[in-house]
Amino acid sequence: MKYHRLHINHFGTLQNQTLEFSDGINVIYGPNESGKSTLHAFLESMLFGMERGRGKAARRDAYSRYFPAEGSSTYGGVLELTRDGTRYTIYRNFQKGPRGYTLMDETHNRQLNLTEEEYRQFLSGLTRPLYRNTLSLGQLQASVSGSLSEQLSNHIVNLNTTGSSSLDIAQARERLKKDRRQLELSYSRQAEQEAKQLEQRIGLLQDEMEQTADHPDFRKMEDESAALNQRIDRMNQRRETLTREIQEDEAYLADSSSGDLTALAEAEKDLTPLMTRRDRYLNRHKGALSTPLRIASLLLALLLLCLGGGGMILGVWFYLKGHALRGGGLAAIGVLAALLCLLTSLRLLQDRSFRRNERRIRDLYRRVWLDAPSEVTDRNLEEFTALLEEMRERHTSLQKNREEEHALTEQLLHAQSQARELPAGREAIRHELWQQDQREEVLRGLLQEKEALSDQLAQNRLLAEEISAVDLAAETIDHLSETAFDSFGHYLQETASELLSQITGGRYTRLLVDDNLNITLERDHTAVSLDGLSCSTLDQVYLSLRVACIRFFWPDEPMPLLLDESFALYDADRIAETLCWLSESYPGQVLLFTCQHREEDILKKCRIEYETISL
Amino acid sequence: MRFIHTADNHLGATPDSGMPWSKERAQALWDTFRKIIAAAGDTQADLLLIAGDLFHQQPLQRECKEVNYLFSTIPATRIVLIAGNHDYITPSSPYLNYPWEKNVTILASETPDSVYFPEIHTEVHGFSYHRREIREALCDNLTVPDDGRFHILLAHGGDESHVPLHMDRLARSGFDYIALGHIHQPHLWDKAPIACCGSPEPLDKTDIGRRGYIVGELSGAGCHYRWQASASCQYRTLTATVNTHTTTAQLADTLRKNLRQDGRSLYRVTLTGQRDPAVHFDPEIIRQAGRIVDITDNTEPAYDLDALQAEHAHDLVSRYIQALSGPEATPLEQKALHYGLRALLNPD
Repeated sequence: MKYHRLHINHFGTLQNQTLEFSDGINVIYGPNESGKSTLHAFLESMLFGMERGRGKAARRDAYSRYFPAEGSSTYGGVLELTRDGTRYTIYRNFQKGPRGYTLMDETHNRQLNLTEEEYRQFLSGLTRPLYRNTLSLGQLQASVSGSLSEQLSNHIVNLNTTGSSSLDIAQARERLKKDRRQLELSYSRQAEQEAKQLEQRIGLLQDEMEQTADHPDFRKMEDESAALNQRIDRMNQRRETLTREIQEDEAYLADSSSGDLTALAEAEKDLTPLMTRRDRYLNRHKGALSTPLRIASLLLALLLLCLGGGGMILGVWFYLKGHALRGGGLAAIGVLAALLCLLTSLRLLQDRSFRRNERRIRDLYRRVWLDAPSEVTDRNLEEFTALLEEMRERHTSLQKNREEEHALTEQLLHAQSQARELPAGREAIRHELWQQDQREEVLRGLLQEKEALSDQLAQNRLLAEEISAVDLAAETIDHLSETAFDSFGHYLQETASELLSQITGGRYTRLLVDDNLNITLERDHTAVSLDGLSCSTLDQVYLSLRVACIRFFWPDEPMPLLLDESFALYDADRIAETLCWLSESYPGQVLLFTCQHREEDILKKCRIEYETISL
Repeated sequence: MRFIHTADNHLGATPDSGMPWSKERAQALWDTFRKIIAAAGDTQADLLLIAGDLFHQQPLQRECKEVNYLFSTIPATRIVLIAGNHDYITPSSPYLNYPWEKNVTILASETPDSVYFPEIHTEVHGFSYHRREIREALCDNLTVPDDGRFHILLAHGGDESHVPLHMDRLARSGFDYIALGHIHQPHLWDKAPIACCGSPEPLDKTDIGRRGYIVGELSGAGCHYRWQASASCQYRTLTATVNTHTTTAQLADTLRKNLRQDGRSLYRVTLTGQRDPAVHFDPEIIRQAGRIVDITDNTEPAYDLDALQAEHAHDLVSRYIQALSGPEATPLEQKALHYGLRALLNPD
């Protein structure tokens, strides 16, 4: 693309002015306030129209700034330019807005109605930001903000990542961070926590409920209770029977004097020899002697004793007297009497012994049974033995019954205590059921709370998705800017190094851009940071970077390069160096705006062809 | 022999927990159950079949009392029920321990069991859940003898983890009627007397459509039955399409006009269309348009990607669009595309 001619109708302080540009270097000379910046703005506005601010901003925007005091109806102009050998004319009236232009194809003499995109293609893809970043080159504005080197770095960052547009990657990142923060604010961590806690509580409660599910069976409990009561009744009945029997036995045995079964056994043991003896006696005798008979026998015995003794004494006495026969007879009678006496005594003794035996039996009777018969008869004895038998049986049964009663009482007590506990057990079951219901209700409450949270949780899931989308956006932008830097940065570094080396006549051989976008230069194989460089060297670096960009975007098409007071800080040698390089190596038009004659002098001195346009 | 078949009453549940109408919905479950009992009484039904999930959880004593009272109001109707996956039988289950009315039969066994009612020549078969899930297809090999009785099967399930059912097998099993529960959507099979009555009330927002129970009659001529609506409300879906001019308030107004404001309709709203990239539809405001259970925002910001790509041919934007758009882009990538574009184009 090449500027050919321009005519300004009215634009700021400029009016009715026509400028013609030639190939190569055009020095546009004008002292301060002569309208160089206005011309600059006019050139840009002719290509891209004028941006209008809105509201208050409109008062200070370019449109207002360059709004002509006179001839406002012709606020605009004409720009003729050549592209690929075809000449085009752009007519613009800024009052009619950005679309207020007419584009004529002068070569083919036709008007072109282009869409925005077609117009952009017509300008070789040139956009306003790209124009400002590459073609239209001012000074590094050290005075505005920060150091020169910092500005240069910033410039490269934006060039690297966004290329032609006015995108601000850093700002976009900030925006995404802000989006993320906002989403995070809506994300309810509390709901997540509550849900987790609820989950835990529900789990615990369910565990507890499953453990206590050892169920209280009400109906079984009732059955058990009835069975127990029946058992208690039965036991009571049995106990009554036992008590009655015991009482009877006791009443029966109360008449006896023998205390217990041992005494009874002793009595029986004692009775046996007595009975044997009695039987033996009764086998020989009819029974005991009656009292008169006993007395008679005693008297008889005494008589016989006397008779025997007397007979024997008389017999001895007669014998001694020689009356042997009389004596012998008397003695024999005496002996006989003595013998009879002996017999009688023996009988009496036996009788006595029998009587004693009988007495003992009676004693025994009395010992066992308080009441004793006046005499011992066979019937009595039979009764006695039967009595003993009966008593033994009673004793035994008494003992047995007592034992049973004792055991039964214990059982009964136990059963009764069980029965007493039963209502408590029922109450406990009711309580357990009640608790079970309580737990179930608590569980339901928790489940409901959980469900009420579910919307919030679903919302959270959506938010989490949004957050990952924002993250993905940020990652993608980071990744793309890195790759943009990788390709563009590498190209930029290589091309700018070559250009810088040419501009500086080989003083600086390389320009290095590291991952953090710090720029270093290489001089005599030594790395030099930008901070240590002069302003003019920085400007040269800036120029080489821009020219590198122009080559990148328009490798085949020479584009006009606008230099606005770019050499103000250069010394003469450096201007010469740079201008020589531009005239030799830059393929396109160069529009050099200056307020001094230095550049012209140097161009003349170096015999470089140029045109001067004075404002 | 007339019968009524219901299931999934979920008594004790609180649908739409957290919503203003939640309590009303919980009460509606009881009211509708009462209505079914009354219907059984009015039509002098011989059998009331409850195919599981009568209760939403393990029932409380007072709930059993309530239900038992209702059962006592229809003494002429025999009630047969099984426990489902929600009210499955535990050792302490009131199903086992509660003193139910005489006309109530609970087929509480874990394996298929049956009860025969000689007066109506009907044998009802069924089994109950004793755990939350039964993955075995327990109904697959059931058959009934040809003994002149009516045979009815009560079954709860029909998905993978709740007694998978195979309809062809069930159809061959010889039952005169198969009363299914568990699936809330009512469905009546054409080829065999098999019916899933669905829940009598919708239980949550996924239960879209009408709900009710089944009324039927078994006779020598076969089984005739029909579905009867009973729900007091209905969940509906509504899709609202927005454009780049739509605002939140405008959308709420449009919805207010389009939603049935009869108190019986609950809505799930889906938003589609292309919205102004700067507009965000606040769900809280949209909800005020009526009984809206949830809102799914599927709108997309209206970016003209082709124009953007042309405009930003040389910079990051076009490469960004390339990276995240296209027919294969996932929803996440699409979202990321919109976030990124907004950040790049309108960072303020």
